[in-house]
Amino acid sequence: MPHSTEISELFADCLPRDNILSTIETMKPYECDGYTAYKTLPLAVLMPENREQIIASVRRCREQNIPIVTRGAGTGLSGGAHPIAQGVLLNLSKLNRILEINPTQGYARVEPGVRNAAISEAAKPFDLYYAPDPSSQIACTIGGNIAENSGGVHCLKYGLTVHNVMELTFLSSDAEIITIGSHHFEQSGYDLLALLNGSEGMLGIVLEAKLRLLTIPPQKQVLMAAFKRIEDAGNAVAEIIAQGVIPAGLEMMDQAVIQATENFCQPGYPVDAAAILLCELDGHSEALHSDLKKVEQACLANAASSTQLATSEAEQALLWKGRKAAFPAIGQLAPDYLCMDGTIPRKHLAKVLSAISQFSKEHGLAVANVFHAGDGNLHPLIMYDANRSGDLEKAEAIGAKILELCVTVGGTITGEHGVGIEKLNQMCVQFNQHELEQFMAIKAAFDESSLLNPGKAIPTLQRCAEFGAMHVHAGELPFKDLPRF
Amino acid sequence: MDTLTSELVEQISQAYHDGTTLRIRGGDTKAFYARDITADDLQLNSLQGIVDYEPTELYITAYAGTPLKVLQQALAEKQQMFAFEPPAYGDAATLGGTVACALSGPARAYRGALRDSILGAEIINGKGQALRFGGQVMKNVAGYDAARLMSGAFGTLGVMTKISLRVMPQPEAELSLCFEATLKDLQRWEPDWRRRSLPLSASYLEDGKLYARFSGNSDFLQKLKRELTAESVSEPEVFWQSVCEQKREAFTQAKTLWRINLAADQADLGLASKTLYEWGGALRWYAQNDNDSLSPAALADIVQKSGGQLQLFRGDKTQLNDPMGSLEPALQQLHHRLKLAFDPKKILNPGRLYSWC
Repeated sequence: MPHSTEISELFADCLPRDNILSTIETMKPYECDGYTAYKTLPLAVLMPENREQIIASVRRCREQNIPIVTRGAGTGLSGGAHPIAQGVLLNLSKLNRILEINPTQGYARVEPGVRNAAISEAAKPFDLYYAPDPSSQIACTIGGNIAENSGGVHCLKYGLTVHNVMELTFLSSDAEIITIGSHHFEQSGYDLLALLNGSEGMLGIVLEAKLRLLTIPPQKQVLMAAFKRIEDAGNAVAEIIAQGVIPAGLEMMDQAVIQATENFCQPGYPVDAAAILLCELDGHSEALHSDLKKVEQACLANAASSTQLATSEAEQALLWKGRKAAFPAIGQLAPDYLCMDGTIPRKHLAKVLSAISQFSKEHGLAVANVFHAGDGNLHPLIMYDANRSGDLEKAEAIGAKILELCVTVGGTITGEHGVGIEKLNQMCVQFNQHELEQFMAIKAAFDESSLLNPGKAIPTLQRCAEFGAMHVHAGELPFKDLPRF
Repeated sequence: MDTLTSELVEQISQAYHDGTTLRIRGGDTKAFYARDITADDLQLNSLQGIVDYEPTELYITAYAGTPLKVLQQALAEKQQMFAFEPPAYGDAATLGGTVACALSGPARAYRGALRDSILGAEIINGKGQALRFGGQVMKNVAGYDAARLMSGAFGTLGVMTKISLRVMPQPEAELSLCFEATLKDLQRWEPDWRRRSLPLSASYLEDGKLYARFSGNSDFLQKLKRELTAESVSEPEVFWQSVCEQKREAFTQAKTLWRINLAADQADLGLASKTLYEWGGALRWYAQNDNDSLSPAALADIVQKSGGQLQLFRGDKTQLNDPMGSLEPALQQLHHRLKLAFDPKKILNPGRLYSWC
């Protein structure tokens, strides 16, 4: 293992010297991703400009047995791109070319560092767009979206990243270029696209992706409904789906979020409501008209105290503005917050929310909830103050309890943010020993020497054993001795 | 774990211990597809029943041996369906076999493939370990998506015991029309219909006739019918069923039926026998007749040059050692390592998908 001062020498023939960062000052911006609770400096940050430089860098890492953490924009919320002290951080944001937009066949071919929103911007002149729209879409890159299998507010109708990637070219840890999927509809052999999407950079390094583009819907409508009880809002969602309507977006916010966003950007939400639903419908006017009626009836039949239809584009944007500003709005209420990401079968919503409020009281930290109601993905935002001793630990304890509850009611610990380093302990709750071993065997089939993002996403059995012991003594803290591998 | 699953775990553990190879059997309706193998039968069709169906949560969970038609009936009662329109090839077809073969019907190009509907699976791997991946929710990124990986693996990575699939509401109405058309027309019209957001749900071209199905709002479809000059397809459900399961004469008369996947905008491959087109031209069935002496190798060469993939779908399997085609060497090695990761002694359906896997 080379000393960090020798590191730029080591990669000097792989990529331009200016693209190798190895001093503390230059690497500081890369010490964490969007999961900011922990910080680590890597040996070096490598910023290749093309495929050849990536291959040369990976070959060198392989020779020297240096682990590689791949990073895009670093917006991930679970620490998937958190650096490893003895490894390099491979930053792919310079590979940001859109290689092709094919309007007739409806696809885009892009490099991994292309921003999510840039794809839809480039497709817009052809009336096309790329459907998955994670909230960080202005900044996040498609390579990161693939690593995390990112979702967004429209995935109930249009799917996650895994449903919209047609073909993928990746570099294996032995520097072999492999293309999976196809430029038409079917893949030969095993569904490796299923594995690569959401693999958190542990199976391969994305070099290029072919993405499905959809036609921008002819019309949109956004309806807001307010409820006095959160259960009613949940039942209204079930009724909407029972009526055969699949909304393009279906979002729920609780009272704390309504109040916070109203203070923050005045979207015109009813601040006395216990919950509001935002329902976006798209399509041709005939279908929209009929779906809208069904949605409105479903809300009123479940005791909605008011409904409001945004008729103009400006009104629609205003209603969405509140939802999109939910996180920054919470950021104004507390110096720090932890954003959780469990998914639950929707029928358990009331039970889970009441338990969350109980955890919140027990630990003395406020929790606000935004909910992708259509697909059951719940984001409790746990507010704390990192400068107050013991607050982070309390927030993490609440978070852990929430995620474990999600598993208990038949859901999952992460719907779209990934496991990263944040939820390693909860993986031990969701999966048993044999399942974790199977994950490790999959990892080894792709990356035998474990060079790619080791230590993320899949906990070691030893860690789970230790966590099990910790778990008995409730109140003791996870992440105390975060391992570097 | 229920008794039947425990018995399977025991059987597979024993086979792992003894190194006995197993042929996983459901309804045996798709035995014609991919490769024939000889191994001890592992019967799954007693592993039946719907475990959980929540129409408002858009999922259904059932044991792998449950007949597909039982599931489809349950869904139809709630005006729901599997979006990918699976072909069954017989009443005995099971959920497990359907997922293992990953065949999707005419709607695939417009509503997604079978793999897109997978939410979770319980499997037994080649070591006899019962494992649960995914769940009943659409958004789930905890661990690798090993559940979706089961689709199209032909049972070579694990024996599926329980599967959760996403379900969708049935469309309010359907409109099936028949146009006089060439392949070029199809290749021009289909993208145009997509650009206009017309709710196309199937397209099929045979002998200069293009059959198109639109699904959605009834008022909109009535308006569309007035706009498009075309004949209505009589008995549309029977018609699309016969396309979905290749029961039309154009399919059944073929000596060998080849399945070709390639970019929808690829030109006619210039072959002697009849070609049938689905998915806007991205799925092509080459119905090779008795007088057509084109060798499998020559056909494979033509398809490869056009950037497509070729499978021998139905016909004399002895023509090819690997009717499902071949993979690039690096990809083949990766498949092999993945097979060993799930089934280290290669006891589960060995050779069923590829001779080497």
